[in-house]
Amino acid sequence: MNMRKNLIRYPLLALASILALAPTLWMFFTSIKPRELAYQPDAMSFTPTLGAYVEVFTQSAFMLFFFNSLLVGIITTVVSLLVGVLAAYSFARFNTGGLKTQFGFLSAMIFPPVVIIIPMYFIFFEFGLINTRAAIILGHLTFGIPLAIWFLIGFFEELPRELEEAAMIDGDTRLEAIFFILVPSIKEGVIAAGILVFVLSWNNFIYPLILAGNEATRTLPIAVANFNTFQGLLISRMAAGIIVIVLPMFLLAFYVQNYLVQGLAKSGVDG
Amino acid sequence: MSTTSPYRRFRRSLNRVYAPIENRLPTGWVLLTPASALLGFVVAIPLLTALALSFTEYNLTLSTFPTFVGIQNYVQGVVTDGQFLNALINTAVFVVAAVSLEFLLGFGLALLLWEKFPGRGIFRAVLLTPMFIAPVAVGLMFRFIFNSQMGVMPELLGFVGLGDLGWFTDPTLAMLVIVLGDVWQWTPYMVILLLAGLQALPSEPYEAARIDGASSFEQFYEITLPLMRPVIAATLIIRIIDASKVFAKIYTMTSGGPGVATETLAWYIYKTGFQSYHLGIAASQSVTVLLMIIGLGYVQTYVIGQGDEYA
Repeated sequence: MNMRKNLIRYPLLALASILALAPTLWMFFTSIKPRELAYQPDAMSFTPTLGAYVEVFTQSAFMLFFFNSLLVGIITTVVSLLVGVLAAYSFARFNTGGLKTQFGFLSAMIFPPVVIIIPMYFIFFEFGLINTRAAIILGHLTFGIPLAIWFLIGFFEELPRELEEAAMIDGDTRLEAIFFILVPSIKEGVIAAGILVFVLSWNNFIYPLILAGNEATRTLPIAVANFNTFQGLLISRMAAGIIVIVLPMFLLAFYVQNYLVQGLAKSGVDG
Repeated sequence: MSTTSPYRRFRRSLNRVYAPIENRLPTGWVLLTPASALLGFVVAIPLLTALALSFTEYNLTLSTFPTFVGIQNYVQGVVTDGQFLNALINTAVFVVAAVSLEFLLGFGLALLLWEKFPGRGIFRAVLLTPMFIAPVAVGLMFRFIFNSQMGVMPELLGFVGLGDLGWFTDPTLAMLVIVLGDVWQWTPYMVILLLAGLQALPSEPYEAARIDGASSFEQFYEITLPLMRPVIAATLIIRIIDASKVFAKIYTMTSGGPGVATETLAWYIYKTGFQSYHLGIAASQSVTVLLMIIGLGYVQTYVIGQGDEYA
């Protein structure tokens, strides 16, 4: 019985895994080809070189773009978690405002960014916020905060009330109980939520594209999209740029995937 | 521990501010305030501003403050605009094609990963990787892979006698490449959502069915499918909403081309606002899209309501 199932399972999963990895591996393969071979798909024997990576980092302000992405991602994540923890706790413990209010908060994730970004551009333009990292961060909070709330409600619901009540009898305020007693006991959930927000911020394209196009505030997705020149000799550079933006996310993905399934089961996909 | 460390002092002063607030106001709402304030500034105010802008002429090249023009934008940019209709149809085609493929593949893979077996963790980790890649990167990768001169796909298809099909010059094929890129990236998300649902299912019905001698297929059809209905509905809604926002892949792969064959709503609104600089018209199109999403939401809530009764 089990043997027969495995006979179907392993070939199918192996095929799916190959398909899941192939495009990324092909880009990696292209990125280490010498630049005059990179645009020839049938050029299979070559001496691998890291020249394209050196080019990426030396011929543009790529380090700055990397730093911008990192900074925007970290601040977006920290702010989303701080206010998200409080809101999720509020919904889980007090059912504040009922399900309608909760849905109102989560619905911010539903609106297409392009709908929000047109008026946002106008508002930020009037406030002089265009071409600042703050503008990108504010844009990313539109999905960061609702995502953190949605993900964390289920974790808080599972904690017994006695946990914070005991701490509050010992003289902690509720705020201290939340951040120093409750958050540590749902550490996995908070870390997973944080990584999700960070990944979405790191990968986001439309907010930095419209709110901050100039070189000083450019983030990696914009920089990589700018490699979109289909001249043969620049292909290896584009491939290297893609690998640079993808690799950190792969490391996070391997770290977070276990928590992610647990977390999504808790947050109740049907909630 | 010294009571004068900066950390202690910070905690004390924070409490001095927080304690009186909590004593006087309902705790739930106090804790909700920071999130409300931020989301109000970045979501609620922009949405209201979009509504206001949609009734004005606001052109980025003129750098003047918006002037009121009534419903002119809606007439010009939505009702009588064939391009808007074209974008709406393209978006619908894209969403239906991509999400149904993602669902079929995703459900199949989730079922394969459901039971414990040696190597499950590794397969799951590998299968999830595409969803962590920036959509911009996915777009560039697929554009490169399917490229006529430098792509590996035409090369591979050459072995089966097909060769280069002109993926980006044929309207249908161009849409197909974007669908494939989306399916490649987001099937893993379907897998993870459906797998979470499967793992939360109770085991009793299956034990009972096994005693009754039900086959795997019968178990799937009689137990798994009905029990999974709410999860399936929620998963489909999440993906439909996400897929309808597709932008970065269009930007990098086709820029809406060939012609206007792959122009989606998000791309067309972007083009109106930031390439033709008609922000007022773009706002009216945004509001229209928003109303359509809300309408769709009502329909879907109704459909799920039916599903709950069933389950």
